[in-house]
Amino acid sequence: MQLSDIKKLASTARISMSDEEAEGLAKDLDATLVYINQVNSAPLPPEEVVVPLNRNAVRDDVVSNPTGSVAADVFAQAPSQMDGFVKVKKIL
Amino acid sequence: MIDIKDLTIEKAHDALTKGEYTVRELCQAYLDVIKEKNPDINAYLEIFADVMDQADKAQDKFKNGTATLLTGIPLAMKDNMLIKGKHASAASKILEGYTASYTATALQNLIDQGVVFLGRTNMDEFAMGSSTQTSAYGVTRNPLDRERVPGGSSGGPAAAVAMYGALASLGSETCGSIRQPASFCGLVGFKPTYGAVSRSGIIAMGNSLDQVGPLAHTVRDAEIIHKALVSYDPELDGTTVPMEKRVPAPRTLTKKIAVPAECMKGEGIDTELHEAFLKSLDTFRAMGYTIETVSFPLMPYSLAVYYIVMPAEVSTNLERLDGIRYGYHAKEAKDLNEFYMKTRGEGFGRESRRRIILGSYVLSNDGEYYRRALRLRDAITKELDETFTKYDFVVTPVAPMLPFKLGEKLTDPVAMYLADVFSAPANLSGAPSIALPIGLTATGLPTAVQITAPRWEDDTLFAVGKEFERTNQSK
Repeated sequence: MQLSDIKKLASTARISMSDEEAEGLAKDLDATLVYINQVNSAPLPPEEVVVPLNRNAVRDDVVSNPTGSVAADVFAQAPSQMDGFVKVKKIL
Repeated sequence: MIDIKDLTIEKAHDALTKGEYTVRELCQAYLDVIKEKNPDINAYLEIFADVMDQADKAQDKFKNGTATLLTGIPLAMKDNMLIKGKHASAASKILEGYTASYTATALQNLIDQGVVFLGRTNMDEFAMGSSTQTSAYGVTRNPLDRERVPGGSSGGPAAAVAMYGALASLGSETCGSIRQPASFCGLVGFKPTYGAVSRSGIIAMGNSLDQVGPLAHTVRDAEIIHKALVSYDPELDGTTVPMEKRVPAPRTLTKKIAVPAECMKGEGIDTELHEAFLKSLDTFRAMGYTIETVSFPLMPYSLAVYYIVMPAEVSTNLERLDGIRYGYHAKEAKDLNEFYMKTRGEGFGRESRRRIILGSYVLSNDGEYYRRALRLRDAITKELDETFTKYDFVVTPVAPMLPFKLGEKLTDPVAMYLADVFSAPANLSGAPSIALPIGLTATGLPTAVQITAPRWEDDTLFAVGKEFERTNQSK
């Protein structure tokens, strides 16, 4: 992998990264990719539409907590807030 | 004086019922050990301030006749499990100071029975690692040899029990993270069938793989804890299975055990460990099993498949840690994007960053890698399912190596990843699997064997595990 690939992936993942770390990572990931590339030579059975074993179960779409009952606990963790909203930095 | 080195849950329960000692006295015995040993071993990151309050509540249950086997039993828990009002950091700087706003369902099940949680224990950051060296809060040492790692990622829960700083503990496993540290610390470690235990309130790593399970000195202790963790949790967790559907596929037991050819030959396995493994097969023979060498064409690809599926889930999962709603946040940033970049760049440790980037990569190019890995995962599951129509269990070593020295393998990620090579099939297929200690090497390092059964045969594993324990001891 090229340094530029790593920088691009890091930016996609919103992770700031020094050039030095990105270079080390490029080497590590090359070794990891050599290992996981085994999957390309694995004897795969013919592609079929399979129903995965694990499926998400979804509960009924109803309000199960009385309004406001957990808001204070959740808000207590946010670093910045205003008028019942979590505050973020300006976007543009 | 309580002999905590000889204690099991049932023995402690018996003594508490008879009033030989109180829950407070039992907890104090463990707190004394922690005070002496934890500064060096670093199993616990925090001892809870309310231990004695929990003990008093448990004592009340003995007074009013509502005590169960687990009432008053002092346990350690991994730092990725939530109890409302207590800190949980997944051993990451990005969750520094985070206080849980709700309690994990699995832990609530135990709290309802009156267990005492002594404190939260160390782990690899976000459970990414096999040696508890990627924690943002220092390494944990192996109590059996303090120059060596305790395994990981549940290295803290394992070390806490091995140093007699808790009767048993809760770990979590995405790929071997209960079984491997159990094996490195001479303990029993159990990974249940996927969907048996609620994942609500367990800080997720790989959603399709994560399960919570016990680490303990005996199979019976692990069984008692596992049975209390189990529940169907449709309100909070979309992956637990309704109780009536937890039925194993019908099969006729053959008294035959399958050992993969590589494990029989010892390819890539430490020599001393392999000798111990072969000796453990004699214990199964003494129990009336026939051992057969079986070749699995797809199983050797398990770890490669895992290293695609897991980082893909990690990179999507850890997106939510953005410093806006909770956890660590960058102090200076000119706009929202820089805030995200800095928060995540500074908050995540090296291994987490590495896996997030790897996950972003395997999901790029139209998800080509990921889709191939999913197909292989399905094929590996089928291969294992078919094996279980002819063999009662698959038996392998837990890891291919003995506990290694602190600092080893940190600069070679692939060498570290190989610690999980025998763990992956059970996690990919959702099968239950148990790690059992089989004795020490000449230099005193623990060795272990692993038994894997079909999905929903968790009880079969406890039965065979207990029989193995008895047979191995009497040999």
